[in-house]
Amino acid sequence: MIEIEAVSKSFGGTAAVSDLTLTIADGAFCVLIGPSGCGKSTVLRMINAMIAPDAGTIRVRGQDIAAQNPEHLRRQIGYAIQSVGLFPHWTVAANIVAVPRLLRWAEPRIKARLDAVMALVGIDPALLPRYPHQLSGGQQQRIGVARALAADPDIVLMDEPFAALDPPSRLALRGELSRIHAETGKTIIFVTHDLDEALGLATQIALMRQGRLVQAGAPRDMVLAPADDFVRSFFGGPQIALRRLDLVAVAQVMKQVMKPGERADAPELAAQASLRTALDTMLAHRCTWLCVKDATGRVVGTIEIADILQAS
Amino acid sequence: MDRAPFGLIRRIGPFLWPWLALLALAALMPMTAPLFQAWFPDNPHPLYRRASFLELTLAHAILVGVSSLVAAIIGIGAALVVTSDKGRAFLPMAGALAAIGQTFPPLAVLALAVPALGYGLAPTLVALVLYTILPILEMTIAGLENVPQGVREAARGLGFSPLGLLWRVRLPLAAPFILAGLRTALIINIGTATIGSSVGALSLGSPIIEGLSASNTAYVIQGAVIVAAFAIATDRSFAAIAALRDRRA
Repeated sequence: MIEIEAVSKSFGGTAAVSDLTLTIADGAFCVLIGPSGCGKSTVLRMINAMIAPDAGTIRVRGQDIAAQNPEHLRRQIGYAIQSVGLFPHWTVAANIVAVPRLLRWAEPRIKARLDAVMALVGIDPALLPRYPHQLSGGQQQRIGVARALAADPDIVLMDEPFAALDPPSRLALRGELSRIHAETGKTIIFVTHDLDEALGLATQIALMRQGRLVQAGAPRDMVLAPADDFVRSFFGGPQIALRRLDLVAVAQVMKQVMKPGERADAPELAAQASLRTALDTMLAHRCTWLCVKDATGRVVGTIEIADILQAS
Repeated sequence: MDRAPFGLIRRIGPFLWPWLALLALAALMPMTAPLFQAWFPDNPHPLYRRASFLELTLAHAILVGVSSLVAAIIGIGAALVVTSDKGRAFLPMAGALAAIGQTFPPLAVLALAVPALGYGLAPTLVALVLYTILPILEMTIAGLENVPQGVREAARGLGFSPLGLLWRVRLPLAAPFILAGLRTALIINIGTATIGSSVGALSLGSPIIEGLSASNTAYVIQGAVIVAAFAIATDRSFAAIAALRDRRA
């Protein structure tokens, strides 16, 4: 658990963060979002003591970080940033295991963890002996994410990690991160200004503006129950109806049983997909209903366009 | 490789040959006396004999080595201080000071240092150190500043200590710049060290200075040829180091 309590920070007389209180539960995927300059990165960098707050306290795993050795704290928290910052003179393998090496793990343990992280993040072993400059931007950030996870920290901080990537890499890595979060149950604090990224990843969103927390809550609450006009306009804008579909999984509205005599000959869709994906699939196939499969690939129900209209 | 000795020679050869050539040149210089006699038939002393050329070369190497070592310690040390978070305020000042040291003619430094330090080695070392700091300082600063901000930020965020960041990330990344600075500094130093002989320090400048004052061109040429070979050997060694680094990367 991360508890941020009445924290303020100013740089040269300009307030970057003002009286911010926010609690992030274990296993949450918390997205800090807001216009640029709203202080979201500053909040992130205060959690691992890279910036010291002027006032207030931050507790990580129940302990005030001001009383901890900052380097020791940072080695227990994963860290990935937009510019990636891989060490150019180290191979990919050495980059990934940088933190286990700092923690002086035994070599066999490092080797085992390297294999596990590569499998988790989806890294081609052929990349291990290469140097960062030989990789594409997407590959580099994948290594950056692996490096953040290498020491198996229960908390991971990410500052716009996908912002500089091309749209396909960005989508692919977003998907990987979502899966990694589901598989590992790590607490992830993720800074972005991309609304789709926030709604696609978060279990908890904190919207900031000019150093203040405007509203925090589940993605659904932010879209459906905005606290004020700023939140409404931030999460609304064009395509608000489609965004709402983003927040509902197919599993929540599908019909459990197939219609009598029907066979699974309609296009198929995963049960955890969003209604927006369902609608997109229907449009793509010019049909009005889909078969829904569970994680094992078994057909568990159907969804019709009427179900989507009703749920929206 | 079954022919390991040849592999070894090939590896250390680029370091070895230029220095062997320099030593051979210094050792065999007396044998060129007939050559200089033919070149300058009116010269009654065509070969410098006040000290052996090997002796001069050794003295020159000590002069260059000591002054360069001191300049490297000061230059790299100062660069580390002014690129650290606490010392950053002094960054412009360090550059300016080093530039002044470089603009001040070494001969003038010698003239000023002699009354305080006497004749011989001491004032020469002071002048050479002052004159050699700039390229080392400038290139070390450039190398350390060249480490991308994102790399530093990531290293800090992952939990590197400031010393670990310096030792394992910033210095290795700055190494090619620092080596380039040392290369320039040493070559300048080898040429400049000859003026030490004008205040009585023994060096390859001794035949040059004496040759100039006695209008004995043969002496000047003998000193200058060995100084040039010394500079070339040094340059080749740095080139070999750079090639080794490139092959490893």
